[in-house]
Amino acid sequence: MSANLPRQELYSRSPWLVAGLGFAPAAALPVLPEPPGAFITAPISIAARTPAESRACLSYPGGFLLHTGLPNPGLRAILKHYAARWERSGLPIWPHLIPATPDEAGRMSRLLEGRENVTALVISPPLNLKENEQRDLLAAARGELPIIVEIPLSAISAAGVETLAGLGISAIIGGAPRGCLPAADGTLVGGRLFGPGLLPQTLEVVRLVKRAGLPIIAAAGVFSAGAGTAALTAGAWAVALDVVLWRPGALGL
Amino acid sequence: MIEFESTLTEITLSPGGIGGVLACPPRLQLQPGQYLLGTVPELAAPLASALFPADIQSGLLRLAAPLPQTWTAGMILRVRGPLGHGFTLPALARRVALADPNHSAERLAPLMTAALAQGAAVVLFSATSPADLPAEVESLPLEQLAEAPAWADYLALDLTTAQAANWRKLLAIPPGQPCPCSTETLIVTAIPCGGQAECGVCAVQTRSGWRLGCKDGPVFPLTELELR
Repeated sequence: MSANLPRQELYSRSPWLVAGLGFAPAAALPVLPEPPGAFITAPISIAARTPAESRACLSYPGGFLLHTGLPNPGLRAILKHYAARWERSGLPIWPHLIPATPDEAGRMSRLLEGRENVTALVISPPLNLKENEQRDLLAAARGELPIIVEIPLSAISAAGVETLAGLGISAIIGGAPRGCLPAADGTLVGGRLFGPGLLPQTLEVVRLVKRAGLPIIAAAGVFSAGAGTAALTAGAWAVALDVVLWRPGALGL
Repeated sequence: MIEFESTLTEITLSPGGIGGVLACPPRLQLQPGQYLLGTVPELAAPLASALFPADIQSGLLRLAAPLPQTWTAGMILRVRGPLGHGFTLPALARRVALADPNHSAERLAPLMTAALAQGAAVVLFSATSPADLPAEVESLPLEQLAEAPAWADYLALDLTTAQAANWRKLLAIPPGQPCPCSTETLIVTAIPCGGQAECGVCAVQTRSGWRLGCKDGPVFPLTELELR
């Protein structure tokens, strides 16, 4: 595999992206500072995943921890149920894939290529992969569609970004970092962290990735229109709004 | 489903925590067991709260406890709803039993009103007796809940997942025997997305597979549940 593959250009008509709202856009989307540029689906695996045994949503000052196990019916079932809605959607669809192996990444990518209105893939590599394994997984996914890699804020490093840049990755999403909190019975629950308390880390990552010359999409920590604008001003290529959109009134616009 | 702003006109105290009263738009039609998602924009909390009605009268919506402790009277709420699937009270039910082993059955109160409106006899089994219980409703201690399935032709519960997993013990119905009356339960679980995201944190296992508390519930037929 070549060490420096050309980057596939990513296009969005708006820097405001919708995420965290399931597998297909609803008829009415939340009000954003401007009409959204793309819809990023909930995470999709190759086979069906059931909810985690120790599911939890735990609040803490500045945010909350969410542990779900990323349940979903698997890519083929998703296509069966949602492909028609994706085609009819006025928004470009960016499926968010969670392959476990290079083989899965390749198969998922091939299943999505040529689908009407699917214009990019978002891939979250497993967190326990070594650098060469991650490289193999992303190389296997590479095809006709631009690839955006979602990495938890806490796992983004200057060296890692340079490696990804050499793989022809089109952009990075600064995703939710992991953390632990005690549940009601005192046991520690691990999960993804969301909330406005993560904004400083998001802006730091925007600065770091921009320096490496890769487009960066700010996500975790953006909980207001002002925070999104701050990320764009800091150099983010776009802002993906996710769990903030669950609130009535979302951004207060 | 609608989204509206409304002022929290009153804060109330109950055994389950603080409740509240909200001016309610006339176009809001809530079925018993359905919920709203609400947030106070000025507090900028990352998550909205699931709000369950305890009563709707004269344009005022009484919200069941517990509400977030940071909410105070006069705050303006942003609210979305109605959401989810509520109770299905059979039109011919004439003996209705309600039970809340945890609090004073505030979330079951709209169902109580509906049952009385259709001429049913209503019995409430609860941990604490509500202050404003209608005179027509008989209040019994939880220890007598095991008598409910034999008497009622419809039983509605408000349970945690752990309690719902042990419903046979709660209702004293031996394994293998069916529940003699139609029974539904509201399942207490986190509902952060209000059915928008299919995130799965509120997932409940049923005989027909995993269901989402936010969208397919929070009310489920009790005997459909396969909780551990």
